[in-house]
Amino acid sequence: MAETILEVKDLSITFFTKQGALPTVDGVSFTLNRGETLGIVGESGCGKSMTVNGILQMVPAPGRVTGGSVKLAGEELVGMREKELCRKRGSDMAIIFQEPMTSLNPLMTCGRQISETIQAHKKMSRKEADARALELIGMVGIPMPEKIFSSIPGKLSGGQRQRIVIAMALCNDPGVLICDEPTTALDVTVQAQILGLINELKEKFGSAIIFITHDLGVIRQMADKVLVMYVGQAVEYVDARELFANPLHPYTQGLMRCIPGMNSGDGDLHVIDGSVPMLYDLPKGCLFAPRCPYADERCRDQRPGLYGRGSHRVRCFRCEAMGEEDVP
Amino acid sequence: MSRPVLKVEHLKKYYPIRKGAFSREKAVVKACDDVSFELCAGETLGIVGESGCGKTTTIQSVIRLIEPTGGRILLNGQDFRAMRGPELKQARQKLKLIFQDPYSSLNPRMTVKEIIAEPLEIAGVCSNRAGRDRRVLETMEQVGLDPSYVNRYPHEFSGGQRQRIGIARAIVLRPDVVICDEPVSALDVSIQAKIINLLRQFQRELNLAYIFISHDLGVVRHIADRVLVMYLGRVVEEGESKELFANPLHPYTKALLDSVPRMDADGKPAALQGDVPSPANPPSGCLFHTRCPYAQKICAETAPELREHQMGHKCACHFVDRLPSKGE
Repeated sequence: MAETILEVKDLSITFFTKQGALPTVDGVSFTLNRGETLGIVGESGCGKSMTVNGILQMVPAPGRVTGGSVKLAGEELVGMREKELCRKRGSDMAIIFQEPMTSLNPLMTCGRQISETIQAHKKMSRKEADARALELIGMVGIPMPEKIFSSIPGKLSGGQRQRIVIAMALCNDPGVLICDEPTTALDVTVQAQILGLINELKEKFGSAIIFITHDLGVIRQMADKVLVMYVGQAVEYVDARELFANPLHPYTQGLMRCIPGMNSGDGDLHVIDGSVPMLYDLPKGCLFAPRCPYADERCRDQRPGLYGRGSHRVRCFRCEAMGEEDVP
Repeated sequence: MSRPVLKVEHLKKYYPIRKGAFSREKAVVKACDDVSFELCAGETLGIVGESGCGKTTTIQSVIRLIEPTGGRILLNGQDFRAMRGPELKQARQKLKLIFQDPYSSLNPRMTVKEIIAEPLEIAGVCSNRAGRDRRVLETMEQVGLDPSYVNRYPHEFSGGQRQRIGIARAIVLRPDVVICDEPVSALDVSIQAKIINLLRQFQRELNLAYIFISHDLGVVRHIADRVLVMYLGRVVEEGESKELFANPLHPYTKALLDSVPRMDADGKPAALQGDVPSPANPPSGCLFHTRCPYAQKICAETAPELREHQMGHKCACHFVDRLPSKGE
């Protein structure tokens, strides 16, 4: 059995707003082993990004982690003091954001941004840190690292900037690397390069990766396990292979069918009826029931648990027969 | 085949720039160079390529939002570039645009009614208010917006609904050609499917011709009849959508298709190496030769012409007959 590096259990995040307490993330659980990639998919507003914010303990006000536990290498992060958290962020766990344009300081050279991050966590002289930064820039596949080292981000292309962000995320050898839509703002050709790089570096550094995306094609290429989210809840949690071969939740099935693929027919695209419910006006029963083609009385009345057998968990009454609720 | 509603011949848009020491040297950026195509009623032309390849410049030149440097544009057989004043205004009513970002393309201080009615006012049709209001309400219903929302402001709508407002504004005057510049890129997949179906429905009902720009090849394959592949301002391949996606000829098109992460197949996407060269300093000869795996000496010397290779399938490559075909 591989070593578990991150264990998230019943993580709940609530936003306290004028409209009331909004359950942005509702009881999300998963475990992540070293060298493994977990994909989180879902549409905007489903709580993907908030889940990783919860892991990093960086939930913005008026939100708060209201329950559950996040264990990084056995250490509980929920309730940890800010000072200690700061030591963890950027060293034991790091994040790559979607927008490479805004996640770099436009006035600082690329090399200094990386060496600064190294120095923040390790006792190292400026010279040593700079040397390490240069090495990292070369490692992420940028030609002429010396030139890029002393360039400001504005001089770089989008793909190069994302490589710098990756170098910065990896500079302290994090156990968990979180990628929040790292390729959404990039062209497909650059995306292919960056995805290849992340996989290559995963092998080299042995990090575990949490990969957030709305693109199921990217998930197929990257993930070992997948968490499908809908309105703050995990609706399906399964091995990537199994997900694409045998999606069980009606939402996952609908999502897969509405993507125009390379082999789809000419007819109209499949659509999921209705729209995502608002957090302040959630349905009483299953959150997907109002849009679900299979919904019956019970679905509209009661919330289903996560049912499943082995590694396949589904939040749907139709899968209840598969096994116990919330099997450990 | 019916007569083309829009015919574009050798369209060029050059931007003058200065480079060299003390900016003495004059040069041009060929943002769109020698682009030709025809569009018939009821047909969809897709334009694909990486960012900066001239997709948007091309269509902006076509509708003369920016004045083209050279070439001919025939709208319903009339020379669109020669038109001035009221004649131009009249002709532009036949050419409408749908923008990518449903947030910034709608005036936040105008109600839905004012937004949709504005083209009618400018065109001077429906001179009385009652007629205009009726037309606005009809159009709202057509695009699937509740007519009771007529006095609301854009911020009260979701992204998908805003894009419907944008579509309503584009079709209210019954144009011949609608240009869609990445209309679904900012939307979630389930909403994207709805908008694509809506666009196709209007195409059938109103016999619209579309120019559809997208970086999502799956979407283009689904919606387009013909496809132009652009690279650094030039068309490198043109063909029937089915044929082009099944049997791409140009190495760039092949690379583009290979880099899309597929949901329906395993295997890592093959990454194209390097970045797009700067358009201010384009490579000699074939623009793609710096990244092309098959490049020979001749590619750096002479630029290949766009030649018809098979019926209706054009490609600009010296070695089009000698390249390995897909799957080899």
